[in-house]
Parts: sequence; C-alpha cells; structure tokens
Amino acid sequence: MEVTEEAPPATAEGRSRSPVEIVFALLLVAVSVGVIAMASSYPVESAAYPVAIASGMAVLGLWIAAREVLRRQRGNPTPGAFAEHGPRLAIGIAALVAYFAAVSLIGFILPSLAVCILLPAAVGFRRWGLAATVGVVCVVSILLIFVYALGRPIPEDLLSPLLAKVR
Amino acid sequence: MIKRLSITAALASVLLMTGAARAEYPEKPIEMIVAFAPGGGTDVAARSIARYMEKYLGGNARIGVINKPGAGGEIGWTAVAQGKPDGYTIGFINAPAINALVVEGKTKFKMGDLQPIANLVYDPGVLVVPKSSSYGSLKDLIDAAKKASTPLVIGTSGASGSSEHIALLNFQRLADTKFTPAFFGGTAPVRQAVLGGHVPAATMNLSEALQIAREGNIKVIGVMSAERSAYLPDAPTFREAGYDVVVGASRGIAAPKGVPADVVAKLEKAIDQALKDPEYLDAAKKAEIPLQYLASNDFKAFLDRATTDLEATWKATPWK
Amino acid sequence: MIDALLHAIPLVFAPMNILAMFIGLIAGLVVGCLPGLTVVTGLAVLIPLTFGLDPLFALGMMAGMYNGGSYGGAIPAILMRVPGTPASVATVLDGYKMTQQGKAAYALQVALLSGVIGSVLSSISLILLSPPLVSFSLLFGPIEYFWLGILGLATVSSLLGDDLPKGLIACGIGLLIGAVGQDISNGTERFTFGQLDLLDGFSAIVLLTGLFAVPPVLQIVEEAVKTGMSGDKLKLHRQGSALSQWRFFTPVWIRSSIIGIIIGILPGAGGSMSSFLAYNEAKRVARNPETFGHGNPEGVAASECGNGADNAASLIPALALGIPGSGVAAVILGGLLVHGLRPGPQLFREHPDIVYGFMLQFLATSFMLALVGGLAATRIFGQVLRLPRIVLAPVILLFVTIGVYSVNNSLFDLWVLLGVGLIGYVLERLDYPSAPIVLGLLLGPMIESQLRLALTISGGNTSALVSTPIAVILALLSAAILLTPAWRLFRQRRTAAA
Repeated sequence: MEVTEEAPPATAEGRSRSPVEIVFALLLVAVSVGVIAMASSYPVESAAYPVAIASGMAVLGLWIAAREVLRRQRGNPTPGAFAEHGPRLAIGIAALVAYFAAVSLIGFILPSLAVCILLPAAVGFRRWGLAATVGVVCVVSILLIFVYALGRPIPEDLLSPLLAKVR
Repeated sequence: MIKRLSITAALASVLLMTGAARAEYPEKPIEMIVAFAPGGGTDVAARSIARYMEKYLGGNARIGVINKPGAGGEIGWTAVAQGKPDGYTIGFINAPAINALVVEGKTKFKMGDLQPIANLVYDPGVLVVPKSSSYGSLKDLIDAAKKASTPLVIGTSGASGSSEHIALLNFQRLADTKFTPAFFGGTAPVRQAVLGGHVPAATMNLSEALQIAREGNIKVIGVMSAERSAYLPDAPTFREAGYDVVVGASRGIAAPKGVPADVVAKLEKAIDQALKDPEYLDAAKKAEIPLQYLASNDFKAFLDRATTDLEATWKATPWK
Repeated sequence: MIDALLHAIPLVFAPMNILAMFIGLIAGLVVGCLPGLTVVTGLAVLIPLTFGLDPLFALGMMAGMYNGGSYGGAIPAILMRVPGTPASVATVLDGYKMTQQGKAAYALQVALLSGVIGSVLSSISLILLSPPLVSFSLLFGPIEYFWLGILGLATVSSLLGDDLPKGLIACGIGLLIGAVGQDISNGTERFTFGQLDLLDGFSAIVLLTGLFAVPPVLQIVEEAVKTGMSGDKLKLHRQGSALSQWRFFTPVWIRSSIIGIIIGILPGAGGSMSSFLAYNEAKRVARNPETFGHGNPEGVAASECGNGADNAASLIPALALGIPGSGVAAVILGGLLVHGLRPGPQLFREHPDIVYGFMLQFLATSFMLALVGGLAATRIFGQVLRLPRIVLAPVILLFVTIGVYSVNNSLFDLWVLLGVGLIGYVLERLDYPSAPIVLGLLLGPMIESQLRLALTISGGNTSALVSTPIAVILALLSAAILLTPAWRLFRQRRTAAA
C-alpha cells in the first residue's frame, strides 16, 4: 500500500474539528425542526413520513452535539482538523462558486477555459501551457460529444453564435 | 443578457449573409422542446418525427430535440409558451394533461399563450381488469362497486390530477358510485399490478394495454373513445355502456403565440407530410402508434374543448 | 428454442451485425463514463436512426450500448470518484480507494470481469429462465415492494460505520431528500418552496454526482499536488489478476448476480438499487467487513457484478410482457416496437430468430466488452491520471458540470450540484458515512409510496401487509439482517468475557 502521491495526513497536533461538529449537528437539528414545521401544514398522510424521519434526526443531532460538548469538557475533543489546508480550501470553494455563477451568466465555454488555467495557478501550479492545453482539449471534446454527437444543449453561451457558424 | 446575445447573433447573421436576401424559414436549427426525459414515449415520438419533418421542411432544416423535464411537464410547456415566437422554438404538448394544469390555475401560462400547430397522436384511455376477474363488463364493475362496503380500488398510471384520474372522477359521477384511485405514478408498475391481480381494476392508455390484452392476460372492459379502436375492435366503449366518458392522451406540436402565419403553415404541412412518409408510417404501424393528425385549426378546437370540459369538472369535483 | 438459437447464430455473427454490436459497445462506453449522460440518452438518440434498418443490426447496437454503458460508468468511478452512472456509486466506495492505493488497473480489471460475469449470467437467465422468472415477478405488488424496500434499508445496518448516530443521521438525510417533491396521491407540494424545479423532487443523478464528485475537487485543490500518477500504476502486471483469483471472487459473483437478476426483473425496483444491495450483501457476509470502503476488491466486484446482472434481466418482463424492468429496458422496448416486434409471448412464437438473436447479442456483447473494455479503460481513460493532480480538479469539474446540466437542461441543477457538493464535503470531513445517504435516497420514495398504495388498496387494513407468503419472507429476512450486527456484537462480547 503506497500512497506517495497523497499529501501527508493533516492531523496536526492540538487542532480539533469539534466546534464544526457541534455547529453542524445543531444545524441538522434546526433543519429537522424546520421540516417538521413545514410539514405541519400538509395533510396527515403526506406529513407523517417526513415528520417521523425529521424527529429521529433532531434527536440524533442533539445527541451528537451533546456528546461533543461532553468530550470537550473531559478534555478529549474529536481529533483531526476540519480542513487540511484552510486557505486553499477557501480558494477552492470561491472558485467553485465563481465558476457556477459565471456559467449561469455567460455560458459554459469561457468560464471553463478560465477555471482550467486559473484554479491550478491559484494554488501555485505554474505550467501554464499544460493547463491551457488540458482546458482546450476538454472543452472541445465536451462540445464534440455533447453538442454535435448527441445534440444535448449547453447553457446559453456568449459564443453560441460563433458555434452555430462552425456547424 | 439574452438581448446582448441576440444582438450578437443578429450581427453575425448579417455578416454571414453579406447581401443575400433574407433566407427562407428555417434558416437556423429549430429547437423542439420535449417536457419529458429522454427515452420517454413523448421523447421517442418527438425524435422520430423530427427526422421526417427535417426532410419535408426542405433545405438544410435541422430540428434539435431539447428535453426540459420536470413538474409533470409544466417546466417544458412553460418554456414553449414563453419562447420567442419566431418559429425556432416549438414543442410537444400533451393534452389533456396540459389543460388540467392550466385549469388548476397555478401555471405561469394560459392555453392562449400557445399557437397549436398540429396534433399527431391520440391514445384513448381504457379500463382493464385482471384476466381472472369476475367483472366482465362495466356493468359488473359498477354493480359490484355499488354493493361494496368500501369503495372499489382502481389503479391508475398517473398522479392525482392526471387525465386518467379525471376520467375516473367523471365516470363515478356519471355512474353514481364511488371509486378509490390508487396512484402508481407510472405505467410499468400499474400494468404489473393488474397482471398480478394486485388491484381489482386499472386505467391506462390503449397502446399500453394492447399487447397484454390481445394475449388474454388482461380484459379491457371499457375504451374511453367515441368509437371502437381499430387496433382492438372487440373492446366495447364507455359510450356503448351508456357513460359518456371520452378521454385520451394526445401528443401535438405547438409554438409560442404570435408565430407568423406562414411559418405555422409551413410547419403544419411538414408534419402532415412526415406523418404520411412511407418509412415513418411503416414504423408507426408496426409499433401500433395511434396516429391522429389534426391540422392547426382543428387542434385548437380540440384543445379548447378539453379546457372547457375540464373547467366544468374542476367546478364539480376539484381533483386536488 | 434450441432450433431458434441455432438458427439465430449465423445472423448474430454476420459481419454487419458484429459491426453494429461493436459500434454500440463503444458508444455505450462513452455515454456511460460521462457523468450525466446515461445509456437512456444514448439509446434515445440512436433509436430514430435505426428506422428502416435490419432489426438485428439495430438490436445489436442496443445490446452493445447497454452492456458498454453499464461498465463505462465504473471507469470514472474508479479513477476519479465520479460515478458515471447512478449504478456505479457503489463502485466508487472501494474502487477509488484502490486507485489511491496505486491499484487502478487491477480495480478496473475486477470491475470489468465482474460486470461481464454478471451480464453473462443475466443473459443466460434471459435465454433459459424467462417464463418462471416472469411468473415470479408478477407475485410482486405494492405490499411486496414495500417489504423489498424495507429489506434494502435493513442492509444499511451493515453500512452505518463506526459511529452509529452519524450513520443513522446520514440515512435520515437521504430519506428526507427523497421526500422532496409533489406527493402524487394528493398533489401536496412537499418542501418545494414553490420552486417548479423541485416539483418532481431532486434528480438522483444530480445528487449522487454532487455528493461524490465535488468533494474530491476541493480535496485536490487543498492538497495541491503538482505531479501525476506514474504510468506504471496503470499497468496491470504485479497488481494481481482477477481472472486467476476466480476462486476468491466466485462466491461474491454468484450472490451479486442473483441479487442483480432479481432486482432486474422487478419493474418497481430502481436499477441502481441492485449494485448497492449486492455491495451491502457482500459486506454483510464478509469475514472482514471493516475492510470494505477502504479498497477491498470484493466491494468493486459485488457492485459491478450486481449492476451487470441487472441489465439483461430487466429485459425479461419487457420481452415477455411488455413491462420494462428499468428505464433502459423501456427505451429498448420502444426500439423493438418500431421494428414491429411487439413484446409478449407471441414475440417468441412469431419472431424466434430475432428474439433469441437479440438475447445472443447480449451474450456476445458481454464477451466483446471483456476484450475491449479493459484496454479502453487503462490505455485511454486511465492515462488521464498521469496529468498533474491539480490539473485534474478542473477537468472533473468541467465534465461534471456539463453532464449535470444536460440531465434536465437546467441551471437550477447546477446550483443543487454545488450545494450538495459543499454539504457532501462537510459530511465527509466530519465522518458521516455517505453510503446510507444514497440508500435512503433510493429506497425512501419506494417504501413510502408502496406502503401508501398497499394501504389504499387494502382500505387501511394494516394486517394486509403480512397477508402474502413473499411479504412474510421478506419481513423475516429484514429482521434477520437487522439483528446480524447485534448478534455479532453479542458474540464478540461473550468471547471477550470468556
């Protein structure tokens, strides 16, 4: 079993994800309560099933949150960091949000090329030529398969008129 | 955004044509919206007819089938109704499901927002019972329903508010009895249930019952059409038994309202010719697709009547 | 039947028809390995093109596409943790771990071989056992489907992981997501927030892709590894050969094939269920269940074998009764109809050469897959892994995005993908297991709707739920499966105490 390409496991000493554990468990409880509240306006036969599940989840969520609080008090919170590398995780999430927003606004092609080049660069990858080649190859093959071979549409694109001409 | 896109498109097309007169319709690919997922009955019908429409529209006409499934068809139909009325957005609409949604009053479009072009298929509803069932006719079924202490259960392939459900509501009103509909939400499960005898009776479309009925695995005790079907001449209609229940699922093509009349005429003609194409006709006959061509005006009248009927039913027995 | 089979053989192996099967197979591999594109989409595009062609040419393409597509889904599942089809989700669980351990080529080979074996056994059952299997499938009504769903959910008990409350919550999340959408029996819109896009509930493909494919994108960005996998890792030698380990895999293959065939012939049970149930069962009976989910080849074998066995079996009720056992079978049925081949017993009487020819094509394409599939996967698709890992992140993102968009042509689904992906990342980091979410998602709607149908039909009488022999058997099996982990724990404690 060799995992040489993997980054070393980031279980840094002294870091704990327990705040995230508690917040997330309480969030689940909140969602479950919300579900029960929403379902209260539905007819009984439609509401019974979701309410039963949500009630169970609320109890379990409280259990997990309480358990974590107890563990913290005893001085042994759940070990392990939540993120392996905080800043890069933030970059990743921001890139995803920006990418999806861009796709909804100006279509698939340009944001896709941009994300292929900029996302690796943002975390320190400097072989621009390779990133750009990969981006172009991917976009072109996606267009070939989805648009030309199977006739599946892509999101409304800034470059659609151009594509229509290439056809 | 869209506006900018279309300006770019216009510029591009002007550049492309450089002096040539305005090309004849269709000068770019036509989008045919299907409100159901790829592989469904409507989708296959659309993809099949599209090829032959291309042939008869002439030139380099191309039709791209675009699936916009969801919400029982409402998403795709809304897209058709709100599309640009230039003839490059058309779509399949399924009556009376689309009429029912409009009558319920929650849709973002009205039937008037659609320009009917032509109807292609009309598949009447049927009421079937398992082969071992003691009900041999509608009369048996109604007698049993009237005697039973709890309402008789009838399986349907649709959901609440589907054309089959509405047909059942009409039928029980006319027969002065009461049924409990069991919604299976799909044709395959309801056919399996009636074949296995898990429900005493079920509704579905004729084309879905044809094969198993011919083999004698189920009995068709009523067809919801004005006349007996040529595909299953032995099965009696509801009218013969004295109940005026005429319900079926139709598939037709419509465009957004405001499409130029010459474009409507062109599409209408292409559909008519495509339906008469020997190769298509052969495939349709083999598959026993109940083709029924209605030209634009007839299709519109057909849709209007469906809406009026449903409004009356909605007033008497709202299905939701 | 023997006559018909013998008569069909020369037709099936006519050069043109071999070509058709090959084209279908390759097209199937492509649509299968792209997330969002499924065999159904491929067939929907293909069928209108086959009008006027020889039926066996058209059917050969369909058979090839079905078999190719079902294996194609495993390729990105193993190499990149992107389930190419919903059915390959269970393959992700161990397959991707094997890739991380440098055993990508071996994992692909196990997947291929298992898929082929499932598919072959399923084709044989289609040829030989259609009539009894059809009668069996008719015994299933709403009551039986309800218990089948419960049985499936009971197997989740072996997938809950080390942290019981978290496992149960994961299952609950899946069940709740499954409850979103319009209630078909009274039109109540549950948790749709007035959104038209949610009226039919979330699309399973979108959810599963988000849950499994988006978190690794983030993880790769976090790790920022700037080198790729060495070419050696994609060569098979020294990674072991699944073929020579047939003794080891045979029990898994047999169990998974039986599960796949049974789920396949039941029209009311979803296709992606079979791979998951086969996986669960393999884990449940394994001596070392804790190694599942950490790169156990048996997990890949079970999932892919169950998936392959589902294929031909789902055609049994389709050919014999005209009732499709899966979405793909429904489309194939449409394809049969345009060639004037009407399903039902008369199909076997009137066109035996074509029916048996089609069945043989299924068998033949399974073997063709064995020859072509492995090479295609490692020599072509696998090479992608040699790219620097950080460049792989946007590649995955691009394919997932366009695939998910093309399912419903909806931008809304892209935001669902992002949201689910981010939640999936959090769940993963907090050690909430993902398998129970999937199972809840797949089985929840079936359990609820079938229970309500059963109660509607029985007039609210709950005793009807145990009124048939199959229902009782399924209920007892569920109880037995639920009690297995408890029994194991009890025995462990006793041996520990002694």
